[in-house]
Amino acid sequence: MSWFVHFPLICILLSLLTAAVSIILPEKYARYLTLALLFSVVALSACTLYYDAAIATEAVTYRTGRSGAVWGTELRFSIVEPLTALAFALSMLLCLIGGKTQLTVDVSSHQHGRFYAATSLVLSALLALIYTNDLFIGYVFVEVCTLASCGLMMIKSRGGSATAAMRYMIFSLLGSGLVLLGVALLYDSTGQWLMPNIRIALSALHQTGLYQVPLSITVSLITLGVAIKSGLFPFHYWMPDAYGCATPVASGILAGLVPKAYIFFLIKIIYRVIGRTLFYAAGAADILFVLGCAAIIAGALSAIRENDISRMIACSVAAQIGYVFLGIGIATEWGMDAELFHIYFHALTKPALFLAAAQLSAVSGGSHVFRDLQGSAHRNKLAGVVFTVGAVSMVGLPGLMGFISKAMFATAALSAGNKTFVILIILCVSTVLNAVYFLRTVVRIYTPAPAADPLNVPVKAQPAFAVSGILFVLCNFAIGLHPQPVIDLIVTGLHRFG
Amino acid sequence: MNRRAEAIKESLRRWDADQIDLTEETARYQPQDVRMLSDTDKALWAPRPIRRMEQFELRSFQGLYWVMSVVTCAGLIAALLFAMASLRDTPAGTPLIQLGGLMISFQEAAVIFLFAIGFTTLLLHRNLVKKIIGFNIMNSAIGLFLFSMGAGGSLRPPLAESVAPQMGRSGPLPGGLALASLAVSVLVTALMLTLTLRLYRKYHTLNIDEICMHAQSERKV
Repeated sequence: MSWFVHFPLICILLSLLTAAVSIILPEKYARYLTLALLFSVVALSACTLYYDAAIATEAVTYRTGRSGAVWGTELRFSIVEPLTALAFALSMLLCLIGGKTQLTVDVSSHQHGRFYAATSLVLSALLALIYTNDLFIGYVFVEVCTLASCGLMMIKSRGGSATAAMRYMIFSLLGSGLVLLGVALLYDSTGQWLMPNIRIALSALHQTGLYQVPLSITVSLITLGVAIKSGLFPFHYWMPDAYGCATPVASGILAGLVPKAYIFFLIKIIYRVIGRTLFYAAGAADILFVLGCAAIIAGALSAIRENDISRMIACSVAAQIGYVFLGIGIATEWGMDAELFHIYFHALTKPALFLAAAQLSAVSGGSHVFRDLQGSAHRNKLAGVVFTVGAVSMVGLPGLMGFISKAMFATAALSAGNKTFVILIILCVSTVLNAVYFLRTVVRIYTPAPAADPLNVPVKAQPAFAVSGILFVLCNFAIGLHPQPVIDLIVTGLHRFG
Repeated sequence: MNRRAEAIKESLRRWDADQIDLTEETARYQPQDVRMLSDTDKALWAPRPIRRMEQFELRSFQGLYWVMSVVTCAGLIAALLFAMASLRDTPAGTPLIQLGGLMISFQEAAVIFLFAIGFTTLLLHRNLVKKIIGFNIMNSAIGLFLFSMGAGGSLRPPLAESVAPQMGRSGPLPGGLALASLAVSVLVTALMLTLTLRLYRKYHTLNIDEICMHAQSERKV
């Protein structure tokens, strides 16, 4: 079983290789290759998870190359990393399967190879961000992820995708600039790139009480950079355009996975580089707490104002990012658990919503506007069911993943000292606002359309969408009804994470 | 000749109706083909003129951008000065300058000012090309910062040690990293210029506010 430790590196290399190959392959083979890659990443991540959870007793440090210490680069994984990789790869796989038809409509056929190459590149960047133990490699893959995401966004060359991609790039570059400067400052003050080495140097510095101001500024730069990149309030204005304009597969990947990978990298920096004590001492957690609360409310309010289904889902991403940062801001072990669970919940729900919304608008004459979507759930029954399950899960109905996530946040709130009441109030308000915009949509799509409407013809669900939609729904119910194994993995994993 | 003009008009019509791939279609025509269109035809597919109210909004934002730029730039410079000044308690042979009571090396002062200027330009300048230039200034500043760390390392030179043992060796890692971040910035610049070209072809302007207004009004239609 000890050869299971090679799997993370193999996953990263395989995705890079697939990206290079699929760009020259014909459309069909590029698709098969990418699907095969995703299947193998899911399988290999599951094996790594099994090894780490059942056999290994501590985190594995995997050194690449023969030179160690200062010069080499490292991967490090315990339970949380393969679990995240598994969730991300599974979500991406289901997304690619389900969005096939919409992809052929949105992207011209000679561009498909490039689309799959960008998808594999995003996957490689996500995996590298999840597994790496080297700060500079982390930065490089943050940039790879940004570039590949921009490719995914602008490949649909119609609509406002170029404008959306431009705004996305501007904000992403501001974020990466700050992250790179922060990382360079860390290197300047410690002389190390590997996370554990920086941690040793920083805790020594922290104990002497010297350099508190530069360290706080460095921590703030990195946190601010990641916050801008993942679209935390008030940097979320590009989101509705970017996620609403892209093809549904790309929207699912970009909204559900990419910002979460940046946040995962930030969590890693908090645990392994800066140390939680120093992070909380720098006051970054409190700022994130306030911004997270504001993001939840602002995201929900802008979603209520939207009149277009994909843009509404995109606005709700801003609110969910708020939850994730709220989890960091709570500054306790429970908050971190809730936040990680929320990342998985969101990665497995949001793509389903985007795919179902695309199917619903396809049977409404291609319109995304609520008025035209009336009765669409009767025309495409399966898409209606998938959308409804995703929506009520987002609202937090018991029996689904969303409820567990909210319950975990509420539990975390109880041990959060003076933040308890704020968190509970925000949770209540946000649940009501979520219900307003998601249930309004559900009611709208189930309201029968006038009989005279020429579009009013039932359509059979496409088999590809049926497979992925049903699997998304099953995942949601399975983890919603039996959350304990996942929660146990997260709790044990976070103990070994630091 | 006339059929060619008709073909262009047809593709412009389809472009308007969002039925075609912009990059494919524009590659088929040369600039002289477009010149064959009459002025009325050209006016038909020019972007919608910006209304007076929107022009007023655009103008009134100008002053705000100035204020915001100054605030952002000054804030960044102050924060970075505090972050970098105290890192050099023992100067490694580099000349130091005094800025507001803080001692700092020339290179780092340059890094701070360049980074702040680049960041502010990328964030708040309205012109897309200048935004890209701002991004390049910002990234070059960080490259310079990484590069300056490589000088005067304490490693031993492998061959020259016997002849000049006191020399030391500059660290190879920061240079390599600066190169990596340079490669990233070249890629990003290429991508951003492509996007700018695409947007300019469609909206005939480089002002990001105007482009966003056009995109918004398209969506409403």
